Amino acid sequence: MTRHLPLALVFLILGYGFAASSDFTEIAAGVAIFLFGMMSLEEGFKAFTGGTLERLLQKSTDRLWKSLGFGLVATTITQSSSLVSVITISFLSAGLLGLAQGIGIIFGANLGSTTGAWLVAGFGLKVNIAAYAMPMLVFGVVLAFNKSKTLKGLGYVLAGLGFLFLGIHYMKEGFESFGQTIDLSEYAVPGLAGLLLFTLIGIFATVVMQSSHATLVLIITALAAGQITYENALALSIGANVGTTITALIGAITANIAGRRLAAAHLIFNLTTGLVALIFIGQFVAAVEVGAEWLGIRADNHTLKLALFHSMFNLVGILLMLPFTGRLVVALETWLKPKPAIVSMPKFINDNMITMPEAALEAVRKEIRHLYGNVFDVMALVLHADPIRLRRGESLELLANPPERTRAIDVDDYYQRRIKPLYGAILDFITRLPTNDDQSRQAFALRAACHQLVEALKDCKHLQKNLVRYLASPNAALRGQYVAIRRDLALLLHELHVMSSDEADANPTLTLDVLRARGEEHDIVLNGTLDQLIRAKRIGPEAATSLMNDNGYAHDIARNLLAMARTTFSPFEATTHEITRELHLDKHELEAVIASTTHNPDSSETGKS
Amino acid sequence: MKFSKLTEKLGDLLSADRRHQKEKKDKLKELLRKMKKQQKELESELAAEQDSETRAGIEMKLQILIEQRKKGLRLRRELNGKH
Repeated sequence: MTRHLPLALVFLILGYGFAASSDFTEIAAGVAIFLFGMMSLEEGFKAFTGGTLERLLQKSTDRLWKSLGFGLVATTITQSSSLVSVITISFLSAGLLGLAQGIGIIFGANLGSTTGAWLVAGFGLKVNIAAYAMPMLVFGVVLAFNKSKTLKGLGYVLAGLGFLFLGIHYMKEGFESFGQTIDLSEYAVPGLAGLLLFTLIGIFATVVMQSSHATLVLIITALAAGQITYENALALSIGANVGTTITALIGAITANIAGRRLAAAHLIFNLTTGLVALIFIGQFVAAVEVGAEWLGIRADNHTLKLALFHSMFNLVGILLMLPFTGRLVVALETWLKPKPAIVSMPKFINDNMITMPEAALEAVRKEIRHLYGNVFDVMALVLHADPIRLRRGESLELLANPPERTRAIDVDDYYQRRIKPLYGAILDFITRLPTNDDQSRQAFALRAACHQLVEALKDCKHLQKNLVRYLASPNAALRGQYVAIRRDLALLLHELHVMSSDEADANPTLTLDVLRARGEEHDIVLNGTLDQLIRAKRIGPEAATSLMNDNGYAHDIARNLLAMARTTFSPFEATTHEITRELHLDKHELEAVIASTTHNPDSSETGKS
Repeated sequence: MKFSKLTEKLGDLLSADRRHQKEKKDKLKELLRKMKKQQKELESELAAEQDSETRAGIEMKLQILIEQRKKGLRLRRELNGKH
């Protein structure tokens, strides 16, 4: 319950905000749409990894000056440095860009963003990015329905961009009406104090509004109206430049380590540039005067002078930072390291046991139980079951219903972190064991048990695709079959967990054969259920083939798990193992039992021996 | 101790194979005893159970146990040299 508390608190705050202010609702919706756009964009770019886009990007960003140019042009066209930095973070997260190229684009984007001030100050024009959003969304969604990987990827990119534009639009709309309540003339302060205060106000306003453009519009309007002094306006524009990094930082929340490094580079660049501009403000003002005269800007045209100042200090920032790009990359890679992944390591086997094969084989058996525990967790998640509850056998009756919501997990990622290291360590250990004949047979069986576990997990990965899809199917018959597959596998996992624990029942031979029989009995291809569903037209032919394949996967998962359990959870002591092996029922004997109990329910009453 | 018993024990001690056979017989005997007990428990459980689904589950378990016991009894006969 307590783990949901922060979420409940966030909901409460958001709910209060929505009720209190329509501006807040618009801003929050903007942030949500923006973040959704980020996810869609990343998804889209991933489709192009290793393809043509990679080559195209490499060609246009293979030199630092090209990256700079790309950032400058892209920002000038889109009029949003935030958008370009967010796109760059996505490119970087998808592995399409190196950090150095990404930094180049960010530097260029900073310079490109100053063109906005020129446009506002000079022409009072601004490209309305929201106008692009709607067609982009429509084209994006149409393309996303396509089967071709490239077109699908393009669709996600377009839809992602559309959502980004829409999100920024909503944020601006919300904050612009909020911005009307800020009266800058109230804070006119001369001297150093004014410089620092207005820089802070510029940062704050941009952080809140998520747009340095909005801040600059405010500054230019206030300056034109004489509400603030020229010096204060310069300080505000420095603050806006620093504050704009917040968009990249928000974008980095959903990005991987490479994206976060780029966001940090963005922050470092803008902070350094801001600091240099603040320290050398006098020199900058003098340089602006010279530049304005050279460009033919009138002495009293403070708005264009402000735009010139904005471009100038960003250009100086780039010139200062460019020689240190390599060092910045190294520093960022040192400071920001990826979180060490939680890797499962052996608990029972160690090199000291190598000389004692008997003990070592018992340790391997325990280690395979450990491996089963890890496979159990991943499979439980695939089956939409809480691993802890499933272990304890809690709420097993709920498995008869479909889960409340379906979601796929990254089985490969779990395999890499929780299965493969342990599997590799066990195999390596077994190979190095100096065993005699009988021990070699045991070692071989244990190695096969590991393989069976991994095979079961692989089949579970394949099963997941349709399980996620059909557990939420509107077709009750189809959904019911997938609910049954999920329930049977989850119950099997639970029963095997009970067997593997110390409280295992006294007759594992019986338990294993009962579980085998249950699996055979529930095989919908063998028991005719699938044929009945097709004949009664309760499921279509396409769904029937999926169901047949998935029934096969489920059958193989159960078979591999039971084979593993027979080696690992049954008595290991040689003589008992030999006896139990002879007591297990073979396939025909098991089928005969299933047939007798299915057709003659009272057979057991007369079949006593 | 009778002479025949004494030679049997001596034989067991000297032959690894016979030792193994003896151990197997003893363990199987113990296992069959446990299985018989479990069979009786399942039979009473089945008699007391009203729910048809649960009954079907117990029935199948019981039938499998019966078949396994049959195999166990055959194995014991083989080990005792009776066919």
